Amino acid sequence: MKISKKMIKYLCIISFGANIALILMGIFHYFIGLNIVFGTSFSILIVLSWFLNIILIVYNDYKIVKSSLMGKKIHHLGYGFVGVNIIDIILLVAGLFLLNANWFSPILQYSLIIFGFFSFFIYGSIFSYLNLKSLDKREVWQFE
Amino acid sequence: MNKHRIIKVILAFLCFVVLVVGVVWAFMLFFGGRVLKGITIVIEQYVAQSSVLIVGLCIAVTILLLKLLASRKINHPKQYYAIIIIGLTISGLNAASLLATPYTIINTNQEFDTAFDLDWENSIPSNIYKYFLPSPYFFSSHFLSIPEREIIVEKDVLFYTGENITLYFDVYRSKMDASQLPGNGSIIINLHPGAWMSGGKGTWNMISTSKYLAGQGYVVFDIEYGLIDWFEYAAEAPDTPEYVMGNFTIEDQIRHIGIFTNRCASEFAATYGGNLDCVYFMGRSAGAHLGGVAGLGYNNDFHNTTFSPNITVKGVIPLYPPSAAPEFLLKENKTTNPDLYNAYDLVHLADPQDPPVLIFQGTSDGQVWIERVIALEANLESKGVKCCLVKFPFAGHANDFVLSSNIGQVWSYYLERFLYLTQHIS
Repeated sequence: MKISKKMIKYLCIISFGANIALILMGIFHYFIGLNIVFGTSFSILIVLSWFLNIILIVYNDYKIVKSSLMGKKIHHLGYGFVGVNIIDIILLVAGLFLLNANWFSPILQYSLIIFGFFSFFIYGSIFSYLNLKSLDKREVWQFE
Repeated sequence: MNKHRIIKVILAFLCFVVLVVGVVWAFMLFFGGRVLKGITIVIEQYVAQSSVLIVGLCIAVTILLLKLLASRKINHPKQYYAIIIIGLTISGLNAASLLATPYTIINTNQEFDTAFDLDWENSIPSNIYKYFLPSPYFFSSHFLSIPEREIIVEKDVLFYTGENITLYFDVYRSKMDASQLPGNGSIIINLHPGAWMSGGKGTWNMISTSKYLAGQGYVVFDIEYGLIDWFEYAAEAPDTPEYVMGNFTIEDQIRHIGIFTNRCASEFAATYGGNLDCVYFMGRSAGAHLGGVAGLGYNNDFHNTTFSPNITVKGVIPLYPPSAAPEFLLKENKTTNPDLYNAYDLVHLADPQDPPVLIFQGTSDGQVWIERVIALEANLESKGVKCCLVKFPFAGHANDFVLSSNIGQVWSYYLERFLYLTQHIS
């Protein structure tokens, strides 16, 4: 499939917006409680944003010029993003299981969950922003 | 080899390890601990409730592998695409529990329609719905958990000393006036799992569920009972206190629960604002059997002096329940004393005057097999007991540990509705 600059641009914008929206919705989750409209849109946005982030990482591998300084930086950030994703999942599993245990304080249990959830989308928004910012640099991207 | 290459090899190796774990997880989802037995019976307990996160992990390591092996795309494209296919297949298999959630919801709705009539949802007032989960499952709550309401927890309250043991309970109740909440101070007596010989109150009796129900206005007593010290079981529960161990049988354990009901009726209900006209027995695994004996047998002649006559049992909630006691854990066996055996057999105890029953069961449970629980439900219904079986495909034993998992959320959604509906059945 031919990937144009325009496609990556839209992908970065949507991904950035979705990540920021999810950070805000994550905060609201604890304040407004469970609501059918909010819960459904939040759930859909999590899946959408996660896939957009993954697609952006994959596209990076195809289109980034790794020999350029900025390209190398974004490529490494892509590795970091996958790493953060893996660590976050482990933190979420630990936090959700420990929520049932009386061995630790609730502060630690919720810290694991909150850090596991928010760090992924914070990293995602930074990653998509840096991609977007570098799009006009011809030495970073390789478009036909 | 340079430093970068060594790191890449180590990372690739770790990614393959995660994918192998993904394969094991998928196998456990489909077959539980029933096939391989041994340690898999313990592993099974953590599989289904973490499988959604394992999906994310498998996809993430697949992407990482693709990044690490990007150069192979040109020279060895078959290897490259094989990794994509293998990674996505393992992730897809682990998604089975999540994808089966709509089936559980449809199936449980049908169970409720049969037990409580088609109009059961409309019989719950709208001012009560605001305290309930609005949907059986939110993907967002899976990660961020279900927000907690303000509750009071009191731990280690003594209720029995004797026979060289001491028994305590933890009590969970709302900070709000319970009469304004769906629970209205109804009492839930929560009995822990552990094969009649291990376990204890607290962590392994699902604190999150106790807290959630307390937030709904129920007074949850998480109680201990004497445990059998002469019986060994391969998958014993952790954190067993020494002070509850003794030379007991299941008859003694039921007697300990009876002692609690008497003290609850005379003292604890008043202390903690519990409503004796609305009592539930909830239990997990061995605790489900004991709770079933108490809830279905409290009006049975055999047990008529065991439990307090001043309580009204409104429902029984057994999670992954054995339907009868193992013969060797009773004082006499089935052949020498069939009446004794029957007094600890849930089906024999059932009669049309018994309260409704809500059962939790996973289809991949290697310790309490789904076929036996389906038979238990059918037998209870044939005895005139209203019974709803919430069947979770791919879930194993004790899979209600994570309240916010797809299993935990669906269970809580129907549990809170069952509790409310049964409160108002005379």
